[in-house]
Amino acid sequence: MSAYIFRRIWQMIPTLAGVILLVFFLFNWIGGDPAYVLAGLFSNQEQIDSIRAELGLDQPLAVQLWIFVKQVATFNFGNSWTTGESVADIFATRLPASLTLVAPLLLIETLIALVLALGLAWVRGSSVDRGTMLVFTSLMSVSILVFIILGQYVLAYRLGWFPVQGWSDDFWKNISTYAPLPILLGLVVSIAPNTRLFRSFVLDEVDQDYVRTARAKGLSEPRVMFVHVLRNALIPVITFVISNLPGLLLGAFLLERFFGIPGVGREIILAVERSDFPVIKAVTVYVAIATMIFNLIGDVLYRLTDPRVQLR
Amino acid sequence: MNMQSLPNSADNNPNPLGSSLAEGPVSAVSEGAWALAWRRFKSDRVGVWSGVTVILSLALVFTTLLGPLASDWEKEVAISNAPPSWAKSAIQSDDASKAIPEVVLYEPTPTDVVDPIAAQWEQAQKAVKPAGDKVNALATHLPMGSDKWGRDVLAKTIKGAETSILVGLAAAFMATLLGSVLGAISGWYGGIVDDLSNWLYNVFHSIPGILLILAIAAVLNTKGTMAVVLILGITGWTGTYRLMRGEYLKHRNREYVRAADAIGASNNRRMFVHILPNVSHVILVQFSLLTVSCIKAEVILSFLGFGVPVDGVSWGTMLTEAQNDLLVGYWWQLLSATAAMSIFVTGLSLLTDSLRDALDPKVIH
Amino acid sequence: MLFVVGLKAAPNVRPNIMSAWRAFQNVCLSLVLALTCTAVLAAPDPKANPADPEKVLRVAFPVPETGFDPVRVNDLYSNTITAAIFQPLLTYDWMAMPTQIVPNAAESMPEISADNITYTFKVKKGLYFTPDEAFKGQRRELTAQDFVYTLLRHADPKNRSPQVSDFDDKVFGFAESRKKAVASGKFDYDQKHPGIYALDRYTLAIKLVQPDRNFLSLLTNPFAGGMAREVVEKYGFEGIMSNPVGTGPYMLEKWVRGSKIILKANPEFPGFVWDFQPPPNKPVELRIASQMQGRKMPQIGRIEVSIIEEPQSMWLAFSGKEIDAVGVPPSFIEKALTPKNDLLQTWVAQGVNMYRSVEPDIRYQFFNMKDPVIGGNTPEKIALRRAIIMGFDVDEEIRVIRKGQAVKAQQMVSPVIAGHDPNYKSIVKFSPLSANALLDQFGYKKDAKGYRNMPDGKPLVFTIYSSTSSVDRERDELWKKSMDRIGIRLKVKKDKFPEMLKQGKQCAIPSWALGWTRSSEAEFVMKLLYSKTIGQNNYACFENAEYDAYFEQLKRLPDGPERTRVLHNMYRLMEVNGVLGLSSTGIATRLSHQRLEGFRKHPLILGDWIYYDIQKP
Repeated sequence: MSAYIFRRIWQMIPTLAGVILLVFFLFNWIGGDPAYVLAGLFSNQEQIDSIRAELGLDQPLAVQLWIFVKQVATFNFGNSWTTGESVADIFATRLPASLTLVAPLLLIETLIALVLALGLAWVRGSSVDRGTMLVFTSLMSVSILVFIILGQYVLAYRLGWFPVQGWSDDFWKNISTYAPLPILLGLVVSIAPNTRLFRSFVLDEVDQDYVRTARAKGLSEPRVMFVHVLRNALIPVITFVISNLPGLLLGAFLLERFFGIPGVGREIILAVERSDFPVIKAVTVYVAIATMIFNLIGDVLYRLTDPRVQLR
Repeated sequence: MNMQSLPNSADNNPNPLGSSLAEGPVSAVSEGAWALAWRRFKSDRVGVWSGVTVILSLALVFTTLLGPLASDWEKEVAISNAPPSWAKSAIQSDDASKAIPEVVLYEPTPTDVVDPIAAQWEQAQKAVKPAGDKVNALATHLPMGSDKWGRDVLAKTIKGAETSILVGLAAAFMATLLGSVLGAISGWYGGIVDDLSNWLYNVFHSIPGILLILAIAAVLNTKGTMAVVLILGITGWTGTYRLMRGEYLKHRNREYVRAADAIGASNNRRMFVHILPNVSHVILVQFSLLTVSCIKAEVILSFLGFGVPVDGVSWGTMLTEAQNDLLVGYWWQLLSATAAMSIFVTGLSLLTDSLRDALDPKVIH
Repeated sequence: MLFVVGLKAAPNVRPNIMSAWRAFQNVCLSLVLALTCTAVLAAPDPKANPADPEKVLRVAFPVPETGFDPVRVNDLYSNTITAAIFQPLLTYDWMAMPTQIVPNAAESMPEISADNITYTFKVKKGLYFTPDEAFKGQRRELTAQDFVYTLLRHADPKNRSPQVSDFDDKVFGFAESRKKAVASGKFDYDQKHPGIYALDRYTLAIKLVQPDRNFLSLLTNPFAGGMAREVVEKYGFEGIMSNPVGTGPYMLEKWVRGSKIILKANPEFPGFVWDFQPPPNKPVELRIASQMQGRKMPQIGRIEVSIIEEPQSMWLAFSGKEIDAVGVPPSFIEKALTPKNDLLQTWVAQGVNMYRSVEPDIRYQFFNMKDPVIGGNTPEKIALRRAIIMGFDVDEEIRVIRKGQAVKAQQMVSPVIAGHDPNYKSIVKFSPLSANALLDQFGYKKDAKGYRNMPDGKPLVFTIYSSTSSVDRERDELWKKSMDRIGIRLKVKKDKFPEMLKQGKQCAIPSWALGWTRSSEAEFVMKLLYSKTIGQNNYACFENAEYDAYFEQLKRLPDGPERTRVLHNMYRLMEVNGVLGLSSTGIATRLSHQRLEGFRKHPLILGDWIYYDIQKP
């Protein structure tokens, strides 16, 4: 096992190198030479040149790439070009807000989807099953934008059940007051795809021989479902959840934008709009590393729990 | 790089018991499997109706593309924000929009400046409207209402369908093609080619889709619809790659392929003539899934401002416009675009499901 | 004093034990009183700043701030905060119309030398910076050198001050000191500057290049507020952005970037009495004046600023009473006003107040004189630009995109900026008919599809640049419609704002919609087309000797018929050459809830929270 882990980590290096290369050449052409943003609308050429020198923008590409590689190795990406905040700070301060939104969302949506998936698998083939799947498919065809706009209007403005937007520094206040509506909307959007996916995981298990064996042995259906099938279906579910976590953080950016939550996703949109190179570089690399690590954790978990799987 | 240990999608089932499609001579397998699938599909009522919806939608798109339908969607045919004809509630139309702008007498203040084109300028001011030019009356109600420029929302929805669906199809096609070809080559040849492709896959896969989409969108500086297709195509190939690679790895060692090798078939022939038909159902399903996700992604891209340019319309641009309209009481553009998109996407999704079930021999019918 | 009073308060002192005891009591009492009073006098006078910490004002910005170093930031919202923290020498009278400059940190208006070149200011005594570690536990008084330091920081190239072009022009030795620092790599703050220097602890002098009627307006801005050198040196280049330490009415209590800014009242700030004369013909101002007259200000002890970018969220926050005042986002104007622009009854019933005012801004579409397609000074090109301008319906833009919340502009200077002439009429008007006729005369023939080619037969494509915002998209649609009417093939190029800035400064953008705001006087607006600002704000790259000559005159002439004539000529030169397509000046509608009192906006003052009061919840 540890050999497997070490080998996987070793294999991450070429991938990381690829990510660095991709990010570097992609963002070197990104629209917006930030020197002009910094110098403001009233700059003159002198000021702009001094900024370019200071930021290393006048060096040949190979030198800039080497600087970038060193930055990744030392986890020091310098300061944001537009606000002067250190990039590490930005990440550290925005992460809690994103997590406060995403972690409960992930937990609740996984639980609900799992329960629903088990239920649907139980009544598989029936009109309830087919009807629900139909409804889900229609739900999935509506864009998240529509849900957010309608949700904010009806539930916050019209009915006043939630605040329209906002965030505070107090974790409990956030959880109890500001996070519920975005989480609710996030749930509505994710319930259909997640349930469908988990249902397919469960159905894969239900078709296995061991289930037939268990039934033949005389075990009751609930026991078969909720003890044996669930245990095995949990494996792909948890793997899926863990692997998806980094993407989820970013994907919440629409919710963050509409509800004024100072999180990672919103920060990235701002950075892209302002051509804030250090922030974009850092976030991309951090997230790529996080994705690789979470994938590894998922794989290891899978190996530990499913003895059929051979790790090569 | 071990990818087979992790079944992430319902399609890729690592059945430890092994067998999959029935073995047999090549041509008989193809016909048999497809014909069987068709019979199964026909018995699924939901699937058939979805299929009909999708085909009708595609026919609509085709008609719009060729010209006759909704080609004048840009024309100002109604007053600003006219409500739908069937909406009972009397929506107060903006009096200000009907107000005649204050007539200003044309009396420029005299100055010391000399006008270099004074003569022609004077001449132009005397221009008169040719006789017989009639002004079209603007409608006050339309089937699905009008937007702020007085354009017919129904026409926009139909034209928007053309754009969104074509963008979705084109992007999905590109992604499927990229992923399939790369996956096939990777799975078939193995070795260095496989390693390189896997490396590329890992690189793309470890950057979340959103970030990649934003980055590429910004780089391309949005040169229109083609840019949207490119962005979505370049970011969407990874899932297909993985599946196709798995399929080719699986089939590479099958007896029928070894038989083809024994009779001297070349690499390409084996890959594309023998194996491809057996995995085409996977490609088809992937293509449909990707179309759905690309259409939805276009909406988000339009919202961020990287969407279709100003002389075009798509469901994404309509939703973006309708965003603030809702709060001031103009709900028809939101309804129209959402309904149209919902019908098509739901239809396509259900069709995909039915196809997948029909093509999968293990599903009980 | 009180010691004596204490003694005198005991009448009829009888020489017995009781009276001796009473006398002793009196002495003790007086001592205690005297000590207390001395202590109180030495410490900050708790009554100096009347702000009540329980009075909390909640507002929102639609755009995130960037930072709080007043010398370096230039965006409106960051400046709104620095205006509350730093204190410049001068400010404007809160109510006076037309705007009138009055002393702020200065004791009085400056003494001006006989040759009108040297301005001498005396700084008020007894103004203190808010506490900071850099002051090592001492109370730090505001001195003349602090103002000198701030102005010198503008000359330091490291700070990339956005105000450099104005100071270069006006202050003696400024440009030279800046260039010297660029050459040597470091700005010498210790060397006495020929144009900006302190005479003694409370007196400073500023020497100008030539007599200038508009120089003083520069000193009303937060970027001219006094800064302490020790603080700037302690926190360094990056740190000073997040550690603003000033003598203004508020101090930064908390900052969550891009999300929340919390200010609390500066206890050292001496209060003032609300005593301003309202303009006689403005009912809102009259009402406010009668309500606020005589109050001790500032009253608001705490200000909580949220950043809300989505207009929908902003509007819902106001209507849900989560913020106390709002600038109504244009897309929601129908939720606030009737078609006649009165406040809707639902709001009136809730006691909401409305403040509608013309903004000191101007929006325009510039046409690049150096562009190969539409630029140039030949009659055909001039006619092309003027026809394009004639084909664009500004009234429709105002009606549909700006929801009627704008005033069509006849001249570059907005109605609330000094120098505006309400009687001026431009030669531009909307007329596709005339535009078509003009283009026909100059040989722009239509091809088979109805689009015009150049007179020499080559294809004609008019390219406009536009950002990806939804407002710009709407304007693009209107441009397409307008150009189709006159047969001009339009291409819209989307790009990001910073990239367009860069290309614009290089005269590479054919046409783009821009705006210009918060100029205190006509001179700063007309500078937009001055040839020396090509590469900075002159995106039209307009170079005209006649215009430049008029501009030089403009800087010197006092108000009067001669100056008016010069301005008219400048406007006409712009129109005749088809340099700008003037659009409109915005009308802002601001709503405030009943509990907020005294709410109005001054066209130029940014730090207006000290003039409001709020009822406690």
